[in-house]
Amino acid sequence: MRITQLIRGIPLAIAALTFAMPAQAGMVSTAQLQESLVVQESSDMNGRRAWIEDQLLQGGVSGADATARVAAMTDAEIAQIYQRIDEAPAGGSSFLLIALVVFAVLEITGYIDVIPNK
Amino acid sequence: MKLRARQLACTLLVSLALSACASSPQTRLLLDHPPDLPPVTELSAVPFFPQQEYHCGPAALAAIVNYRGIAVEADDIARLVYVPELKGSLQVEIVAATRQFDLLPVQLDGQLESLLRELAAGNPVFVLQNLAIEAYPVWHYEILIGYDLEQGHMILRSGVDRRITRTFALFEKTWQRADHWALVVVGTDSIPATVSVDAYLAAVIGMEQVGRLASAREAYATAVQRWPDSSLANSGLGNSSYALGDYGTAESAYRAALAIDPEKAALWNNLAYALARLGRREESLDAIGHALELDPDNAGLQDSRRELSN
Repeated sequence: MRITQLIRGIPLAIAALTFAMPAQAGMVSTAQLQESLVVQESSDMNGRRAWIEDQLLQGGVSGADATARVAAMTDAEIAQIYQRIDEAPAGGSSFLLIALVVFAVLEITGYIDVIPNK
Repeated sequence: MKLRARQLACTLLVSLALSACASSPQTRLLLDHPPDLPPVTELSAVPFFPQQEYHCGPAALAAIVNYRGIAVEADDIARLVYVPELKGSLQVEIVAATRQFDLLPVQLDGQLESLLRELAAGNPVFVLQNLAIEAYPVWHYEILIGYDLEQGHMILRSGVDRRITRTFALFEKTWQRADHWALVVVGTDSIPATVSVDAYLAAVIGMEQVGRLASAREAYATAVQRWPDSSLANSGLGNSSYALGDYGTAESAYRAALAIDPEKAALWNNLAYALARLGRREESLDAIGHALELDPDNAGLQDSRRELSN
């Protein structure tokens, strides 16, 4: 978990280091003004969005919903889950039977809280 | 199989024993130095949406959105966040879905005490928990609706349970395993009790980036009222106003930001564009000239000058 988080932080850190105003005329966005949020200019955001949309489709999300959901994410959010959807926590409260015995012991010792309706 | 499981449990218990002292550091601090808060708080008005299987994310978000006065069903939210194959919802999508209701998802700082302060201020807190262990994570979204400092527990809406309690110590452990992830969801006219200007503006920038400009502008205005000395809050007010075609407000917001941060060339650049839109060409060229004095080699600024000179 911690390693994953470390890896997650790297692209943003690189982006912050390589920040420069866009080499084109026009307004500077608020995200660019707050340099820490800037995703590297050179990164292929459209490709990343397409990849995530594809993952959502494969994950059973309907076509129109997947498109809208990707559009609702910021570039920083895209960068956060790009190629990491499988590792990212997906809150859903599922159970693995094989772990139940372990869980029971840990539960009794007050280390975890997976067994419902106590 | 049974034997292997027992062995595993033993291994875990040994490591548990070794790390037991440091496992709930914030709880100890909190109980040793109780904060100046009401001893008990419970936000009973937070609605309850019992989750269907694996739908703790949609159920929790539906409760929060309804609490903020927007009627929505958990099924509608599931279409925005649920991934059937993952049997769950990603944090990023919870955040993105919140914005779709023009509500701001603001991340908290990971302090247990901040959770209590938000609750005392009337803000339920959306938390992610890992109810099991790192090797076998059982991710679960829940809503904190209260706490009891005397009993030493949190009060939550969780899954199919309208109301459960969990001791601070246990809550801290399960929360820590989810990297202390906590969100407060507010309307654009308010600011959570414990958040920094940076955390608040990060949420507003997200709103602006996905094109919900009117909501972003309202929230920037809220931020400027609270933090008038924030250059970024004023800049955001300027940018969102500009994008909405309100160039007069944009001009004054950029000038306010420049009064705080006069060396920021990018702000002079944006001011130049606002002035150009207002038909004040000479002032616009002065502003972009000033930007280039501060950062002469910047290709973006040079391009801006060419564009504004046409």
